Amino acid sequence: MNDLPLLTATKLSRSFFFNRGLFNSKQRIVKAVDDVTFALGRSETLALVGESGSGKSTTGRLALGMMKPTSGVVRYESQDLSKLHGTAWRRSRRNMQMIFQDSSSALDPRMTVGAQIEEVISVHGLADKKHSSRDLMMDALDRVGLGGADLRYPRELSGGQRQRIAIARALAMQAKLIVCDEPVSALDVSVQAQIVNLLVEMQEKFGLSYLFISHDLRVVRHISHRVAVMYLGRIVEMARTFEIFENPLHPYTRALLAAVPAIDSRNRHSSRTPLIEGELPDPASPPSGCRFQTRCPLVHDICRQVEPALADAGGDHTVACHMTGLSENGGSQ
Amino acid sequence: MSNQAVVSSITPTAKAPRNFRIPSVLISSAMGFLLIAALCAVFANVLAPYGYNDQNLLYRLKPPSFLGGPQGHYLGTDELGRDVFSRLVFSLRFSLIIAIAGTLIGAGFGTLLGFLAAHFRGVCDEALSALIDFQAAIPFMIFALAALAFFGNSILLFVTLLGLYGWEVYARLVRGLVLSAKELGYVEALRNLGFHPVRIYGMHVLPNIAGSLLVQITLNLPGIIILESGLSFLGLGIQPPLTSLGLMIGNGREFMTTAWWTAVAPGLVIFLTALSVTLVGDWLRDRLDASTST
Repeated sequence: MNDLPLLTATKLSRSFFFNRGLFNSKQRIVKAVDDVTFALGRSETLALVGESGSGKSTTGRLALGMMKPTSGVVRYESQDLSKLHGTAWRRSRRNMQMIFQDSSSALDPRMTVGAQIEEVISVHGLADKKHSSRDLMMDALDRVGLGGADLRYPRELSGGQRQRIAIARALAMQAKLIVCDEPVSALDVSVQAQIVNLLVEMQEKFGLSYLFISHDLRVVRHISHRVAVMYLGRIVEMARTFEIFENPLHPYTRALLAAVPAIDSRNRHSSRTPLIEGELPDPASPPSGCRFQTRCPLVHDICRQVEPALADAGGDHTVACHMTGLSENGGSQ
Repeated sequence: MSNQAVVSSITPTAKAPRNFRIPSVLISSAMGFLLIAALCAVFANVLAPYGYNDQNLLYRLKPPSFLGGPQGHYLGTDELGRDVFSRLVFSLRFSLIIAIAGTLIGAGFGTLLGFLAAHFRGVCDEALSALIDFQAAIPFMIFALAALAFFGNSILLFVTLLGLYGWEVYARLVRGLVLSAKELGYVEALRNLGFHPVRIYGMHVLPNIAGSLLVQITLNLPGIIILESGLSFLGLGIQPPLTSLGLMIGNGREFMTTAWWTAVAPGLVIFLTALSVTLVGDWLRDRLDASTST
């Protein structure tokens, strides 16, 4: 029974519509997420990486059912999340939680953190005769190393501590899936390590699954089992973490890796791949053909006309690039 | 932020006390006046030497005792020989009760509509703004006169009308505050915790915006007091044998030249009450705005 993935997203798309102005009836359509498919196993961490505006956060919200997809299906176990409404949807929240980049925005500023965790426990009816909601709250705080902080207000805690409170709250709910939306990017490096280590530890203890959204590849390398690289709303490459870092196939992935400041010489891609230049194109009018063609160092005629599909590169490694396997010398014109 | 420094040690600490500044003389006297007015209203039966309808036709239109009038009538008597001071404290009681009830109705109604509009957006939002425009296009005093004349006068209708005056301010305020609370993210976070919207708005958003609402209430209250007085003055508010500040002015108007105290005493009370509430409201806004934004 456990070979069924915890979460599957199939051909997920989400468009946003904006009015252009008072007298312009045409709408600006932004496909924030376009035809994204992935599966997340139990006790697994899948990282979503990409620049700002690549659709990572939208994918995270879609995965939790916090936002309805324009098309496509998200299934938690076998349950289609877009078919849940009202009470059933609220009940499903117990299984899946989100940890936000801005830890202060996830907490009510006027309530003590202990009361907020207890509230979650009582709303979902998790307390029983043996364990009062207060016991469960204290347990959860102890687990994240903040035992005794229950009477604190969010503003009295540091960003890292608030993030741990958010994790404690998800633990108190006994969530199985946690979407982490840039959970450490607002924190100091030393605090980042604490949070990442806490997440890994809780995964080992409770078998949690994480969808880990980040642009920080060093953190991703540390925490994730698999990595999906997103560009302009699409997954362009997906593979095991080791594969992505040691054998990146897509030129965008290579560029991202090259942009990581290298500490040890083993992963110094910068000597081999040129950094990409320019800005992310306007997502309302993505380039024809391959979306990356405007910035790709390997761009070829076919890239301007045909959009590459995700193709199997062997060993659970998929990539969407016409030029896969070509070196940059062979690919450039 | 002085409490940021002690964060590293995780021990429960008391809430940091707010540094309390002593309000200025003007604000202090406004607060003092409101306190006295509230006490007068509450203890009207104890304070008043006479009943508010006790007539004594032998003592008609007598000046206040400090101007040589009869002893025991501190503020003189009116055209039926009723004690002005006694009527004043009872008028204050009725006027304040009605103004506060009207304000609470308006604040409750407006807040509810603001929440609904901000929660459902779309059609609900547009309906609200249409309703607000509708309200803005109606001269309220004339609308109130028409409603009271048409449906007949009753205290219930009168209070409801006062409640309708100014509800749109609360609706607009609450809608904006809820929308910005949604932007702040904790509403989305709470929604994702599986909380019912009623719980989210009632137990989390409302306490967070209560400060701003309270300020708005204090800013609206003087307007309602004056509206109540105006309608009663015109004879469409509180009806005799009950009494109110506006009613007293209305009665005293005819004797302005010969017995000015019958109109001036309630007029002064209306003026001072409205002014004091406004001053305290302004002060409250300055004090609360900084802390509500956290």
